[in-house]
Amino acid sequence: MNYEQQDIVKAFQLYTRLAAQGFIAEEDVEYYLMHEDVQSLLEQFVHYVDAILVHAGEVLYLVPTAGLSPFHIKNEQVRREIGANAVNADVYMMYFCILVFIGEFYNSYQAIGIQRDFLTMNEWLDLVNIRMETLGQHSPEELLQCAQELQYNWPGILEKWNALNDLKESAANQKGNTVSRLSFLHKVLQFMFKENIVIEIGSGEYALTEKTQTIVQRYFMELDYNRGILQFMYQYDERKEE
Amino acid sequence: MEEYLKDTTKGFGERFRRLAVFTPLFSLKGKRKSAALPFDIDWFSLGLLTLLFFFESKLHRQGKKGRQELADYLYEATQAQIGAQRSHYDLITETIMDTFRDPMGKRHNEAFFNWETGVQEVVQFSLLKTDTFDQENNRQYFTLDEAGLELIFATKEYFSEFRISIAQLLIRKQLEKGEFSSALHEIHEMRIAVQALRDHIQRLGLEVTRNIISDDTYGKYAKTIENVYERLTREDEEFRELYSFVKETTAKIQFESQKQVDEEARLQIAQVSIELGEVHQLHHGLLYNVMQLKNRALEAARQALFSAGIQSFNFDQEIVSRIVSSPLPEEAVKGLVHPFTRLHQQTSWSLLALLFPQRLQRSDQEEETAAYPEIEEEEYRQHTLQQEENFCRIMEEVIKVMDGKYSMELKDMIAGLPGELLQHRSFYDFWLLLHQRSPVVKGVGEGKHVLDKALALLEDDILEVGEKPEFLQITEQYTLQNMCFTRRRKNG
Repeated sequence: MNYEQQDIVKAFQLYTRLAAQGFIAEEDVEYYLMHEDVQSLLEQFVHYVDAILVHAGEVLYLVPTAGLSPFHIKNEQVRREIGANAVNADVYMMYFCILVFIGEFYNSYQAIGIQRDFLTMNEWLDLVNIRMETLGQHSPEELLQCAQELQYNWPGILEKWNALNDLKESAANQKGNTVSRLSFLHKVLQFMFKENIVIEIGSGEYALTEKTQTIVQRYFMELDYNRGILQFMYQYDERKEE
Repeated sequence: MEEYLKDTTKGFGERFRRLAVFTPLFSLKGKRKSAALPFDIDWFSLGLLTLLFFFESKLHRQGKKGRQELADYLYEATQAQIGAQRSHYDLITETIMDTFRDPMGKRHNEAFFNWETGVQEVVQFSLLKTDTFDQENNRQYFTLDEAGLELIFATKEYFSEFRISIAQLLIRKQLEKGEFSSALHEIHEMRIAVQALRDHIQRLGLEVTRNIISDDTYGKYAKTIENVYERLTREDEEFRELYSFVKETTAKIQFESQKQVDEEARLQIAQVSIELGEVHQLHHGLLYNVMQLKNRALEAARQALFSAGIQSFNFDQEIVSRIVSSPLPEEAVKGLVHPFTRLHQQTSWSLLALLFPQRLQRSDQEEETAAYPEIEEEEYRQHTLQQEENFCRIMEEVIKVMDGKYSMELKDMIAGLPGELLQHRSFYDFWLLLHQRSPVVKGVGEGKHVLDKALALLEDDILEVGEKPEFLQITEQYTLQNMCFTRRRKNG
């Protein structure tokens, strides 16, 4: 298909903006909606970086697809954000905490929307603790075997989590450099603020942003995409059974 | 108290009474399973059903409704859910009836403190009353009493949709009667109603954009939008009429007040006119919002042609739980978080950056501080030592002036202090520091502080320094707020 030069340039402009901030709004979206060629170009562009576009009202989001891709955010970059001594296990631990956080808002088969207005730090900590315990219930041999055969590193992550000093959780100020689970969660929060996943709506009360809700409800809950996501998860199960 | 808060307690007793009629109903919630009724019974909703039963009977002029009829009805309506026998329902009915209507014949009483009048009051009400008594068959029939009717009416949701229309009517009546201040209050309430409507529309808008909508839901939204739109147009018309009515009234008052000066009424009607205009404008903006919402819903419906939503998806169960129970590799965790993050951004550096214009630094100043840090530190230490000595001396003088007293104000001390002390900067630092750290006590073992030596002079007493309102012009150069210097025994 032939495109006008003008459209290609404009589409690229919009794409750079999307890539830089994750969304475009207002007149950019209007332009996008009015020019079909720009739309199709943009869709191709994002397709090549393993992402999709989600149009929600006056905002157009760039959503990286679930899965692994060289175009997605890199561990190295995230490690730098967590702290000087962070290793990959920290990154995965953080990602896990984020999933637990979001899952707590979408925990029902009956309703589509969010089921709670906000989550507090302590509750979140409890939830992560419970999940980590479940993980710990797999026999060490089983975990270790998985670790060797499929390069899982859950034992490492579990060890890391357990090593974080849980005893000082009652201390008044945890935001500093105290090595504890809460202070780790605070780091995760900082990351989530930066990625615009949560907002603080009160002291210690954290809610999902409009962006996050849109992504869950428009991407995770879309029939085709959902199938793709589940497929992505199944593949590991299959590999394990082989 | 702020002026606008005066109205909070207005009609407190009346509001309390309205709430109090619900207490018997809510007390049903506390009922537990018993040996006689070993079922999970939602007593609260059965109680509400009972009231509705009597209400419908009254509505259709069906008299002669007693315990048996009620038990029959409840049996028919709820038996499938609860699974109890007809014989159990006699007991259920009895329990509910006894809660609503005391078997001893006492009325329901709720004591409360009326904050408006400032006295203890009691509200009395009854939900059910005896309709007739059939002596021959020993049957008693009941009907809803005043409070029971009120309760039923209060639960019906007809009001919110017409709240604005009703307010408009009310305002008109109040203006006709010349009650401008209550009309003003009504306008304020109407503003809240309009804002609530705006929030509702916004929430709908968010829902539409957040979800993939199916045909059904689109139909639902379209219908809601249609309703709201109709309602808004109707209300808008009414607003215009009301507005012109206010104009007329204003003109009338202007005319009348030429004869008899009624300044207050004129001001109030002017205020009514202004605020009504504001609310109208706010309301008018809603029309635009609804149009926007309509477009969004249409757009969402268009998108729904390309993608279908799934009926239910439990993120917690299907993603988080699966990760830990399977367990999936942490790589999968990463892949699942990616939708929420940015794309990778390559940072690159160009060789040409060497030729970019450079920011000029003010090198002279910065270099100096960087080159000789130890001297500055030495200076600082000297200064601290000096200050410590100074503070110690000042404290000595202060204790001397206080002459054994435990509390004294600064303004009373000044006369007794040596003049050169007042000329010195340290004297003022001393007070500032003390005020900042108050209450203070002699440091025990911790790090050093410039006040340590001075505080040691107070032995173990606790020292409090609090500010007083007036300012003291102590010398030409220095002004200090008056302070109160208090010594307290540690255990006293």
